[in-house]
Amino acid sequence: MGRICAEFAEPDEALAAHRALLDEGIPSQDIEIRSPCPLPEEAIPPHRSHPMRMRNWVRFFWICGAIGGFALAAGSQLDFKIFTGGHPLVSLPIDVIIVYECAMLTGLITTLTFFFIETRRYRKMCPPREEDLPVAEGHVALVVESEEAERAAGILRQRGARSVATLAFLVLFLLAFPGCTVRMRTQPVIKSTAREGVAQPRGTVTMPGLDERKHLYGTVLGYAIPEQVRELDKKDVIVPTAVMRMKNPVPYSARSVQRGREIFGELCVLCHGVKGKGDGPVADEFQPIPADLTDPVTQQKVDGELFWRITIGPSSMPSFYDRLTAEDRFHLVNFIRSLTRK
Amino acid sequence: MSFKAPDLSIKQIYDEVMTTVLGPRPKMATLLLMIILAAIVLHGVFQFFRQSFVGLGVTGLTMPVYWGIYIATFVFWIGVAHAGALISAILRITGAEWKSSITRIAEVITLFTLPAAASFPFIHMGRPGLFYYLIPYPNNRLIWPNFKSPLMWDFFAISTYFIGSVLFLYVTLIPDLGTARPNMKGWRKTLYTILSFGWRGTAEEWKRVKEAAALFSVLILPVVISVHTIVSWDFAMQLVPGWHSEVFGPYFFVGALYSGVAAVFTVMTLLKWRCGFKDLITPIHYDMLGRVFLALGLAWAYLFFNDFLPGYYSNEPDKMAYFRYLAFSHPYSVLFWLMFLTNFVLPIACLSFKGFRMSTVPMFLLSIGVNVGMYIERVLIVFCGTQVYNPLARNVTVYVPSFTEISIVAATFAGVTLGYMLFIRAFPILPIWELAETKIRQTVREIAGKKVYYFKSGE
Repeated sequence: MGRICAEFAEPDEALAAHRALLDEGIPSQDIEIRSPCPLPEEAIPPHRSHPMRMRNWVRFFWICGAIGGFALAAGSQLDFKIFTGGHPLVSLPIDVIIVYECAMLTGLITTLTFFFIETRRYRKMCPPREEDLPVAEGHVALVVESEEAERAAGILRQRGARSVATLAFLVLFLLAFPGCTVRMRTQPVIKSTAREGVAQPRGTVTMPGLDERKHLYGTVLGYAIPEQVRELDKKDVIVPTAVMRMKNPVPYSARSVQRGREIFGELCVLCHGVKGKGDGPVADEFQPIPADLTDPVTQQKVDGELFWRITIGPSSMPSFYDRLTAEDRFHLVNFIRSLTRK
Repeated sequence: MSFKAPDLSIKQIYDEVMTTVLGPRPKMATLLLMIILAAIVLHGVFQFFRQSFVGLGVTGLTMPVYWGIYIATFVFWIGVAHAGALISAILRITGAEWKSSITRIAEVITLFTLPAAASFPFIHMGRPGLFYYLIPYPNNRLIWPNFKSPLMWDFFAISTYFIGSVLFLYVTLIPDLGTARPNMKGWRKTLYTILSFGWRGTAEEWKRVKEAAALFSVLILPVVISVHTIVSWDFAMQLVPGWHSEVFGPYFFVGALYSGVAAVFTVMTLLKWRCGFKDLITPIHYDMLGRVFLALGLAWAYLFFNDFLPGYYSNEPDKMAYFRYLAFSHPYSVLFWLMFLTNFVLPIACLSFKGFRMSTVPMFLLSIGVNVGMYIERVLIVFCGTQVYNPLARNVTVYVPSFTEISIVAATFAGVTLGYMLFIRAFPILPIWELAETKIRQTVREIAGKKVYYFKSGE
């Protein structure tokens, strides 16, 4: 079995020679034509071809991309709810944008991937050899691999081939792609239970910590009790007696509860949840978990103590001393009361 | 005069295209230009780092104008980037034969202008280091991006378009890299060998490339439309009178195509001037693309007036205040009327004449004028809305871009030019296979004593 390669300067000559080879009885699957541009397909009988399924795969993955985009957009909105006025929002028109772009992106990437896969499938049928470079300088080549290669070489010379060369058999190396590893699990993590360990990232802002709250402790009550301040990071702090005697200056009314609900919807809902059950979207991140505000333990506390807790922020709850006015904090107390009062 | 394929053999086409890659070393003047461009880019990078450390106070942004020429240049570059998709996808789908000289010129414009555009939201950020918050990946914060923000939509649209256009450019580049590979030496040989993926040029491979190119054209077209529509929503979704306009989607899209085609003219003429290509880029190409240019100019003018007319007829106070500010306030009204001249009056008047369309230098100057006008349009849209709409009336400062802003914007212009110059030296800038295919498919027939050129269908 021999293998020859004939070069032609013009595509028309090459096509004529190709026809002549077919007329002489050389089977079409033995002749491979190589050109610097696509030649008219009707002039070339298929050379060991197989049907292309690129379009169907692109259609399939386009739909997959659309589903994936929807899962990403809607899923993230369901998982991490954005609360407006106490209600979570999932917005479908916005999902459409993400679905559209994801589907298109998947379609485009699939096209390239299947271009490579389809070409590779073809090359497996006709394995490339080391000398199988593309033909240089815009020439067109006919490669004949057949028992009758010598006879074909004669025909091609007659048809005006620039050069006819006999090629040797060699095997090409396979391409290997470097593997990729996912390292997401091994990067530094701030565990919710750890108090220290990972340094504070540069450029971040700290929440008022215990040290700042010591100062607040004095501000709120007018005096500080050092041994009690130490208890601040525990869930059950010792409540000063002055707080127990504090009266709520804002009367319980529908308007006050409404104002409290607005503040709650913005600031509290992420941890304490819509219904105040302590089941907000990020509640699991804290240890101890946020308090259930509807629980009798909370509801039995006097107004003064609730006010004091909102002000000072016990445990992992932040202080609202400088973010809410005293009146607003009492509105919140009224809202907490309204959770169980029907 | 109908379009006729260049009167060259495939070998001659190959030689003419490859002169930019294999030709003599660039002259001193070219090298000097490249050094100057690189210096401008480096200065822009330096200014960006300075801005990152000092803060956004070094820009001219202050209440009430908080979006300045960063965002305007972002919109402008996205617009220019539409050239690639328009020429490659639309002309490929419609089967315009004259496209083959222009496709890659346009696609490479996209390749460099899109990153230039995408860098601006990043530069505009107060804390650029937190950029990765936009990327949706499973993270330890358990926080996913906020899909209700137009910034997120931009991120998705632009990254889809960028990936799509790079892949498109690459797929159509593979055959040329394969064809040129045996003649290459040195680092180009290695590069071409890796990138051409064992291309042999068999009929089966051609079938696959054409299939992939067809699929890419069909897929990238809706993406292009979505990209600039979504960019326009950055403005239109807000309740600022000059921005809150329903027509902004198509208006921005048509404007983008308009400036994209203008950019193609500019680059085409420069290539013709510096690299030859006298047989491959002919006045007929100017004429054909000039018709597209005229159509886009008319569409842009229609939407431009459409943006103002409803507000004018209803005498809507906010919109009228905006319009009065644009047209009659000092000093920006000069820019507005300059834009009106270079984007509407001159192009429509000149492009209607075939003689003008076919002349190279006037078309070059006109294309520069249109892009200057489009840049002014973006700048005016971005800052005039907030400048006029100042309900608190506590700030009377007029926005003037600072030196930092101007040098960063200049750096992107220099960067795009430099990137293009390097690309021309590394890869064939005209698609050899498409030019050769046009040549092969062309058939001549004599009808009533006249030679008529027509093309057999490629599919």
